[in-house]
Amino acid sequence: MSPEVLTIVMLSSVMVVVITGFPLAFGLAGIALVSAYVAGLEGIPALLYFDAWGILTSYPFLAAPLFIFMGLMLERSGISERLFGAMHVWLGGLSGGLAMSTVLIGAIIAACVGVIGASVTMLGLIALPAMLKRGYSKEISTGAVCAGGSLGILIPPSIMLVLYGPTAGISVGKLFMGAIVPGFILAGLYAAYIGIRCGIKPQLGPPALAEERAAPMHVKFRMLVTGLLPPLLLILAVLGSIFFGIAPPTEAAAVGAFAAVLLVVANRSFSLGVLKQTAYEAMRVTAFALLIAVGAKMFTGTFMCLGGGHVIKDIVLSMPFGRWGAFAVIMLILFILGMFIDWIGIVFVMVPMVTPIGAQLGFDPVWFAVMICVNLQMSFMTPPFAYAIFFLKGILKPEWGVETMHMIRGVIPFIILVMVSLGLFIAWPQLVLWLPTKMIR
Amino acid sequence: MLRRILKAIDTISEYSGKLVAWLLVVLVAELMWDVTARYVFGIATKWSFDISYMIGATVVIFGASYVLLHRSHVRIDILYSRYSPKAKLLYDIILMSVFFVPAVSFLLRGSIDTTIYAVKVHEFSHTSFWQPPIYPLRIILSIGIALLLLQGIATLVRDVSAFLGHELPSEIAGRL
Repeated sequence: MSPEVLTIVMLSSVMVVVITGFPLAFGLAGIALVSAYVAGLEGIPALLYFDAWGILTSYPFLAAPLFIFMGLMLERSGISERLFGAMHVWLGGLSGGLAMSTVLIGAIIAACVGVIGASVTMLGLIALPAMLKRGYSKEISTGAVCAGGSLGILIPPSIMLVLYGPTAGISVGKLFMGAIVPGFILAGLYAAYIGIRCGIKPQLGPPALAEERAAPMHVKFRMLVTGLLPPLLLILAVLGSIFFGIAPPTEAAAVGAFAAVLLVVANRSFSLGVLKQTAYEAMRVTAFALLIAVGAKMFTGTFMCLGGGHVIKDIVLSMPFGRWGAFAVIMLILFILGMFIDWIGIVFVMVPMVTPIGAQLGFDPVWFAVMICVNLQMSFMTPPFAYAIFFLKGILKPEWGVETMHMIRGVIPFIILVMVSLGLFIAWPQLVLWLPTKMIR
Repeated sequence: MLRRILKAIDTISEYSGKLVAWLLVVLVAELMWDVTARYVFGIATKWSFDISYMIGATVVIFGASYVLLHRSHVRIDILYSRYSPKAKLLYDIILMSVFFVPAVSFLLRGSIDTTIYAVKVHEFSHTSFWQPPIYPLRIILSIGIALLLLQGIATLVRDVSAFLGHELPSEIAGRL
């Protein structure tokens, strides 16, 4: 079989197997084995084993279970509820204030609990009932929850960047620093959009009543400090130690996990049962994510070995309009895949294929990676198969009267904003690249 | 008899998964110690790097059987959720036998070959100053992969018997 035919057969069989519903990890591993066997490769057991060994014993990947552990622990520390309470008192008086708070909490806290989908669920539980009760439009409120929650998979410390870095051979610390400014630009664009939209049409997000927010100034300040300080300190400790070169991401993640335990203890909600449940859940999420990594490594390993990488490269590089044409094709492919497949699978399967192409086109690897991650977090909320909407659907109560159509109409403006931000990062790459260059080491 | 074997496999997957989950707590403590020792006491722990990835690999490989037992691996269910129960079973039976069982069998074969070699030559790790022997981890991974294969076969056997109409009760309810 020629490499071209093999490429088409391998990629389309992955799509068929995955779309019809076979677990991604096993589908990838199986197709790798069958193609290697058909192509007559030698020593297949050893090849598969060394692919698996490489993933399983990767030190950088270890940051993933630790950050997952940290996030799950933080969910029980009550920090999100406290922060939302404080935001309500401070921003509730503005038109659309609660929706803006939702986005900001998404940027601050969802970043810490950036486990797949958990941030959307968490924001939905805390913020959505409060907004709907005060007569916010269903579109604005669900849109804010989906958009704010999706920020959690981009803003560091995020699991997506932890898994992306080693897969592309880029330092996770650099990726973290590269994603901070874009993440906060997105949050700013979201909040500005909500503010302007609700400012023009206040019935979309009516301000909360004054008596409901009434509290003496010192109480308001205490709420702000107790709400904002713990998550900020935690993020600064984790990201700061990476930025100043005190600890690599894996160690910083362990420190963050330990600090999260302390916050839960301080909240008086610690128990052996809580520790047990957190450990079990972190084990489960880690195992399924890295199982996909193992399957994908076997797949891409075989795929490259059989010459598929060159075929993809030739196709992408033959696109019209030079390097930007090729870039647009890569982004479009990832965006479309992202509407169907979980970002975990896309990172592990597509990143090893597109990273060398990006390098050959002369793009900065960190910038290229951050662009892809922004794109993937956008596809996380893009209908028809938006994971953010699926997760939110899971917690909706019938009495809220929220339909899928409200959520779809709600996320569209935010998707347009992400596209705008991608344009900004193309026009000014320094928005992404400035912070990583300031890192110590 | 068959029921007993299946139940035994489930139990092993369940408890080994839960046991390795505690290793994550150990990992947090171990890395905390490493950081503290370096910055507070000025001691470099030379074993921390190797111990960390060994813990990570153990958690993932035994966690894999746990995930398979609970069927909580990622599945895109746009179409799958619309199949009839019988069609779901048939789909899983075919794909598990064509993809999962051969792939994990080959993986196990590769693992056992490499482990035997590692034991024979007393292979050491060269990724750090500590240079610990690497065969204990290779043995652990071989056991983990073997358990994953067993759990996959147990799942397959249950699906086949359910497809033929003899429901073999699973310890874990709520599937399909």
